[in-house]
Amino acid sequence: MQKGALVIGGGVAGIQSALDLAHAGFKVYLIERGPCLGGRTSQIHKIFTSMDCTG
Amino acid sequence: MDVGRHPNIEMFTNSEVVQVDGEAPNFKVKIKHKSTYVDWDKCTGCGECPSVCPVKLEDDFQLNLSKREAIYRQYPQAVPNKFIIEKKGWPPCRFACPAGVNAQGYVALISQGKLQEALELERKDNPFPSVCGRVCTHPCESECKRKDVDEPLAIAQLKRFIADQEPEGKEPISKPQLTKEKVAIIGAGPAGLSAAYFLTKQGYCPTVYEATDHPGGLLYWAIPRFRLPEKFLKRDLDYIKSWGVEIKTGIALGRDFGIKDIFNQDFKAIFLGVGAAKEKSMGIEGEDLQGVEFCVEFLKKAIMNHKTTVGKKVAVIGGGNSAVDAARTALRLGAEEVFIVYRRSQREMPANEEEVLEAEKEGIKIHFLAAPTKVFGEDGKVTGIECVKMQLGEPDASGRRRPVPIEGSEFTIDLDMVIMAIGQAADVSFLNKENQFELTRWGTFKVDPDTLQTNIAGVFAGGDVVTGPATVIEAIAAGKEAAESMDRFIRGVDLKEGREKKPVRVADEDIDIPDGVETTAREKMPVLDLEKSKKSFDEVALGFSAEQAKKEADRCLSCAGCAECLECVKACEPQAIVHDMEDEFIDLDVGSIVVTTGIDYLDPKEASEYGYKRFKNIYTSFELERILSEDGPTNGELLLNKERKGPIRFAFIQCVGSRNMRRDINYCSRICCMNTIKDSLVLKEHYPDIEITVFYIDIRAFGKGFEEFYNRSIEKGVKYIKGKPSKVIEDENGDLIIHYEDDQGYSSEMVLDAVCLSSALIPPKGCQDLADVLGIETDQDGFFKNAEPAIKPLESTKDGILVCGCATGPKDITDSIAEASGAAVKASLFLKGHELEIEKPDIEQVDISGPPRVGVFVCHCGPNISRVVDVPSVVEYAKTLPGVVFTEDYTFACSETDQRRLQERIAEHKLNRVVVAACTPKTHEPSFQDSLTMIGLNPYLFDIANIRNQCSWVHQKEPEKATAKAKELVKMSVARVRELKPLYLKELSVNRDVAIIGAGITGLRCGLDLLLRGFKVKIIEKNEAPGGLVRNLSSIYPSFKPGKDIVNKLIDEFTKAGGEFLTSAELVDVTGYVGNFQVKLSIKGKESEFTVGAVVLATGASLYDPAERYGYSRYKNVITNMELEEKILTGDIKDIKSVAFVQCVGSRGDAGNPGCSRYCCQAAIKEAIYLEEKGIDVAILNRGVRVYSKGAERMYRKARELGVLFLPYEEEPEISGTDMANQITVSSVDLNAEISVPIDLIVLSVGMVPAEDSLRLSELLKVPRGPDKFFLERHSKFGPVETTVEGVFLCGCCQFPQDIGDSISQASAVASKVSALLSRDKISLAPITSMVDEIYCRGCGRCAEVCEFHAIELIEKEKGIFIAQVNEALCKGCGTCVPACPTGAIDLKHFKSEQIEAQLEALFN
Repeated sequence: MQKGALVIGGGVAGIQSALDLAHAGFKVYLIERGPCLGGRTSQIHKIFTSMDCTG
Repeated sequence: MDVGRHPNIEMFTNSEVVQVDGEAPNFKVKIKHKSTYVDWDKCTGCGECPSVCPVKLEDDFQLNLSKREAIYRQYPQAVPNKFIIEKKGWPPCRFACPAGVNAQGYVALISQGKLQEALELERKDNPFPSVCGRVCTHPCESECKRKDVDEPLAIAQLKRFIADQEPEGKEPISKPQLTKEKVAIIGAGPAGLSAAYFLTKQGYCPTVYEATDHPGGLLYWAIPRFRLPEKFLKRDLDYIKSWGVEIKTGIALGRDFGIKDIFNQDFKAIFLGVGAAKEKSMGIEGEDLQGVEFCVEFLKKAIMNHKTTVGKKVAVIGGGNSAVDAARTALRLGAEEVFIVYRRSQREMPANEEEVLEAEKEGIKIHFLAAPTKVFGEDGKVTGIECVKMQLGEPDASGRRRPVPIEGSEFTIDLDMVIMAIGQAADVSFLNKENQFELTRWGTFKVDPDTLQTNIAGVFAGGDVVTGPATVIEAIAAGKEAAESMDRFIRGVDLKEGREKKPVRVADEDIDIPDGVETTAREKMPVLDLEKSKKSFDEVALGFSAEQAKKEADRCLSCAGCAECLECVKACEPQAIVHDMEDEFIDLDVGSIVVTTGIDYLDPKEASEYGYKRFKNIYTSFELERILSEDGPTNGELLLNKERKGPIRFAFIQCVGSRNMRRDINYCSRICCMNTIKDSLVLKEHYPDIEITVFYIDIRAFGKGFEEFYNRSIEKGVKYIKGKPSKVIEDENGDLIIHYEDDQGYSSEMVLDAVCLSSALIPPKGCQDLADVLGIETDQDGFFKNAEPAIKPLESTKDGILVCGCATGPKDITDSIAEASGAAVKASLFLKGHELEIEKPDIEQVDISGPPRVGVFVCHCGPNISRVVDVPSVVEYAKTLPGVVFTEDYTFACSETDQRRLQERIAEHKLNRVVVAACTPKTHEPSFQDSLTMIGLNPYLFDIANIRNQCSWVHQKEPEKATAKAKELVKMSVARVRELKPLYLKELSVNRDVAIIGAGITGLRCGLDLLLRGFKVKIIEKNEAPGGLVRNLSSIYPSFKPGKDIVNKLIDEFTKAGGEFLTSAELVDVTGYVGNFQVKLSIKGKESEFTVGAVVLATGASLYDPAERYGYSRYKNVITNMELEEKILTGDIKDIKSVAFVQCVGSRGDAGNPGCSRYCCQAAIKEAIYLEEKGIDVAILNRGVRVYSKGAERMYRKARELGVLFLPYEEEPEISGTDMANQITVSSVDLNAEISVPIDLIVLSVGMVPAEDSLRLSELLKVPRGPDKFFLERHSKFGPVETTVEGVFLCGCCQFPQDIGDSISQASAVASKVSALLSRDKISLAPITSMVDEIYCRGCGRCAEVCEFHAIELIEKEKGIFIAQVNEALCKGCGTCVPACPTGAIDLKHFKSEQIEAQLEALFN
C-alpha cells in the first residue's frame, strides 16, 4: 500500500498543494470541511491584477 | 476541476480530521465524513432537487446576502458538482410534538402553495389533521423559535387550513392491499383509530370495536361542535376508514366479549384504547346536590340535545379545555352568567390560550386562585358554593406551582349550577374479572414505555387508559407507537431494537435567526361575530384565507434546515437522496500532513460603532466581492436600499478590527488595502461617476504591480483620507453619516450612500481544535505557529506537519499559492519510496474517419452570457450549419456535470468534432480537451467560440447585435472544426539535473530542497562565495539571529547533501529546451558546459544606489541601511545620539523600483529598536508604514513605545549641513507643519531594484521582464514561480522584492515545480508547432530570423540547397514565422491556412 500525504483544507492553497504532490507522483488525500472545494477564493469576484474570474 | 480529475487525488469533502496518531512518516488519521444525505455515486448534479425544495435558508456562499434551498450545491461550477442537504436535527416544533408531526415540513410546503403535499406529509404521522388543526393543544407552538423574534407561528391553524382545503372524500394516493394478519383495536377514540390507521399502512387488517354507537371517542362526545363541527371530525374518520379500517360500533369489550375471545378469532394482536371515561368528583360537601354535574356528561348531553337545561348562573370548576368548553356551552344553552373557578393562576391554566380568550370575549369570567370547598343547596338543589382563595407554593410533579389555600379567605357565590371539570380517570376493573392486567396505582394499564405492551403478550394499550386524561395528539402518538409494536410482535422480531434511539433536536446555537429579520405579526384567524357566536353552536373560528396561510407559513425560520418534506426524493430521478444517511469514519495511513485551513473574517458587528447590520447599505469587503460578482446575489449590481439620484457616494473604512489592540488583533490583515484599491477600480468602471473615499491608517499596497494600481485609483478620483472614522450613523433619509477627523484635525462629517468595512482576517473557527488533534501549536493570534518564523515559514511545530497559506496568517493568493507548492515539496520528503506508478488508461479511440459530425454546445455561463445573448436562438441557428448533427445548451458547460453530459452526447451521437460556444479558451479549453481525451476523441478536434468576452461582455447594451455576433462566431467555429485534423503529443526524454542561478538564501533553500528530493543540483554564483545579501545582515527579525549564521548553516547542509557550487561563474549561454538545457559557463575565464532538465532563476535583487540624492555622496554621515547593518555588526555607532531614517529611497517613485520594496519598513523598525535600546533617538521619515509580516505589527508598536518617532512625508525631506549633515526637514499635509530635526546620522532605506545582469539573463533564457524590469512570472496569482519558458523557474527577489520568509517559501515552491517536472522519465510536447513543406521552401531563412524562440534553423539538405527545419521542442506555436514566409512553405499545425480560410469564408459568405 503506497502511503500518501494528507492535505487539510480545500481552498486555493490546499488545491495547489494537492496538485503539486499529485504531479510529483504521490497519493494525496484532500480533506475539506465544506461541501466543495475552492474556499474563500471562489467567493472573490475578480482577482488583481489580472482581473480573472475565479470560477 | 483538475484536482477533481487527477487520479492521484482522493477528495473527501464535508469531512473533518478527528484523530491523528503516530509520528511522521507514519501518521494514522481518522476522518469523519459528515453525511451529505445524497448518494454522490448516484447524484448527477442535474439541479432538479432545489427546484422542489420549499426551504429557504441563508446562502452562506453568498455570505447570507441571499437565500438558497436546504438541498444545494454551493455554486454551479462547484467541485465536486454534487448536491448536499443541510440538516441539523429535528426542528423544535416537531420535537415538541408527541407524535413527531413534521410541522416545519408542512409549513414549508404551504409557503410553496403545495397544499396537498403538505397534507400528505402531515398524515405520515397523524391521521387527524382536521381535528388537530382545531383542538390540538399544539405544544409545537410553545417551542416555536419565532417567538424569539415576535410571536410563534400559528402552526395548528395552518394544519387546519390544509385539512380544510382538501376536497371531500379524497382517497389516499397509494394504498396497500390489506393482506396481512388481523388485529383487534378496542375503542374508536384517537388512540385506537390511529393504531388502526398505521396498521393498514403496513398492510394489516384492523377491526375497531367501539362500545358507543359512534366512533371518535371524546372527540365526538365531549368537544362542542362550535369548536369541532361534526363534519370536520367526519372528514378524518372517513379518511381513516378509506384506508380499509373496519369500525364496529355498539360492541363492548368486557360486556359482549373478552380478551380470550379475540385471540380465539384469529386476531394476532390487541390494542386497548378505551380511554379514561370515569369522571372525577370534587370530594366536597354538597356535590351530590341536584344541579351539580360532571363535565363530560354535561357536554355529551348538550351535543346530543342542544336544549339541555342549564342554570341561570353557572360555575365550572377546573382549568382545562373541557372546563372552558363546558362554560361556553352553558352560555350557548342560555345561562345568564357563567364563570370558571380555577385553583391556579392564568399562567398554569392548561386550556388553549385562544379558547380562553374567546371565552372571556363571550363574557365568561374566570376566578383564578380559588377552589370550591363546599356546595350549598336548598331542597336538594344547588344554590351556591363556598370557595377558598389559594396561593401558589412549591412546584409539584407536573412542574406547576402547587396551590395552597389561604386560611380564612373563604367566600361564597350564589348560583344554580355547578359543572365539575376536574378530570377523568381510567377504569379498567371490568377487564380484570377474567384477566390479570397489571395496573398502576391510578388504575391505568402498566405498559412498557417503549413498546406499550401490557404484561399480557400481544396485548398493547395506549392513550388515556395508560396516561390518564391527556391530549388528542398524545393519544395519536400512542396509537402510532402501538402499531409499530404490533407489527413487530406479529412478525416475531424484537419489540425494542432500535427504538431507544430517539430523534435529536436541533441545538439552539445551530438555529440561524437571520440578522435583521423583520418582525411580522402572527396572522389572526377570523372568527364569527361575537353576538352571533355566543348564541349558536356554529364553529367560531373561521379558518385562514389562502393569502393568510401563505403569509403565516412564510414566517417560519426553518430551524432544522431541511424540513424532511421529501419532495426532493420525488424529484430525484437517479434516486440519490438518502434522508437517513449516517456519518462515516475513514482511517488513512499518511506520511505527512499539509494544513491549509484558510481564513475567516471578523464579524464587524463587533465594531459596533460602524453600524454594520444595524443600518442598511453597510457591507464587509467580502460581501462587496459577492455583490460585485455576476453570479452574486444582485447579479453584480450595487443595489442601494433607498431612492437615490445622482452619483453614488461610497466609502471604504480600512483596518476594521485589524491592527487593533483593543480587539486583540495585533496584526495587519495584509490583503485589505490591495483589495480595496481593486474594488474601488471595479466600482469606478461600473459606475463612472461614483464618488469613492477610502479612510485608512496606512495604505499597504505592497504586492507586485499594486503601487501602479494605487496611483491609478488616485488618478481616477478615488479620495484617500488618513484617519479612522469614529462612527457611522444613519439619518432619517437613510443616508449614512460618517464621523472622522479631517486633515486639519477638525472633526468632520461626510454623507454617504454606502460603506464598505475592510474587516480583519482572523483564524477560522476550529483552528485550535485541529491544532490539538494534530499536536501542533498555535501562535498568540490563533494562527498555526511556524517552527521558526521567517527561516522555516512552512514547517509547523511538529515534524511532518506543514502549514501554509492563511493557516499561518493572512496572505494574498500569490503568496498562498507559492507557500502551498513549497509545503508540497516538504511533505513529499516524508513519502520517499511511495511514488505511484503512472497508469495509462486504455481508452478506445473514437473513429474519426467518416465525414465531420459536429456537436455544438452553447453555454449560458449562468447569467453571464444568457442575460445578453439569446442562447436558445443560437442553439437553433447552430442546427442549420453544415455538418452539425447535435446541439444543446448548458448552464455552466465548464461544470463537472455538464462536461459529463457533453461526453455522453459525443458517444450517443457519434460526434467526431466538437464546438463549445462559451467563454475564453484561455481558461477552460484544457478542461474541455481533457473531457474529449477521456472518452477517446482527439482533443484537437475541438474549438471554442468565445461568445462571452466577445459578445455578452463587450456588447452588453445591444443584446440583438450580441446574439447575431454569437451566431457568426459559432458559424466560424463550425467551419473551422470541420477542417481540423487530429494531433498527437510527442514525448522527449528528460535530464534530471537542475541548475540554479544565484547562491543567496533563496537559491540555497531551493537547492537544498531539490537535493533532499533526490535531484542533482548545481548552483551558479557570480560572486566568489555563496550567501547573497542576507550574509551581510546583522540580524533577522524576529529571531534576531545574525544573517551570516543562517546562510552558513544552509551552505553547510547544501554541501553535505551533495550539492555543487560553481562560484565566480558567469553564464555564457543556455540552449535547448525543457528537460534538456545546455548550460555554458565561464568560471574565471575557463569555459564549462553541462546539461540540466530545469533552470532556476534565484538571482535576487540589487539595492538602489542613491548617488547624489539626499546628500549621500556629499555627507559622510548619510548612509544606506545596508551600511548601517555593517556599522551595527562592527559596533561603529558609539558617538551617535540621533538617527533619522528616510524610507522609500528608490521605491514607489520614478527612480529605482516603481513599486514597494517590501522589506525596508520592517528592516528600519528592527534597526530603530536596536538603536533606541542603545539610547539613541530615532526618527523614521516615511510614506506610510508598511509592516505586514507575522509579528511585524507588534514590533512596530514596540518601536513606538520605545519612543521611535514616525514622521510622514510627501515631499522629499531636505538634508542640510556643511561638512556633515546635521539637520533634516520634513513637511506633510498630515503633520500640517514643517519639522526640522537635528541629526547625527541619516540612514537611507534603499529600495530593491533588478540585479544588474537581469537584462542579460532575460535575453539568454528568453524569460520576459515586466514594466518594473523584474522577471515576469507566468501568472501573477496562480503561477508565481513559473515563467513563460517551460522548464525555467524563478523565486525570491528577482521576481519582485520580498522579505526572507516569502523568498524561502518561493524557493521551496520552485523545488516542488521542478520535482513534478523531472519526476517523470519523459515529458510531452504540445503538438501545435510550425511545419515546413520542403517542396516550397527556398531556404531564404526569413522564418528563422523572426523566430524569437530560436526554434527554426536552416539545414543544408543537399550541397548548396538549404531548407528550414523546425525544432518542435522549442517551437511555441506562436505562428510568427508563417506570414514571414514568401512562398507559403511554412504553416502552423491546428491553425493551417485552410482552417483559417474556412473560418473567414464562413464569415463573409
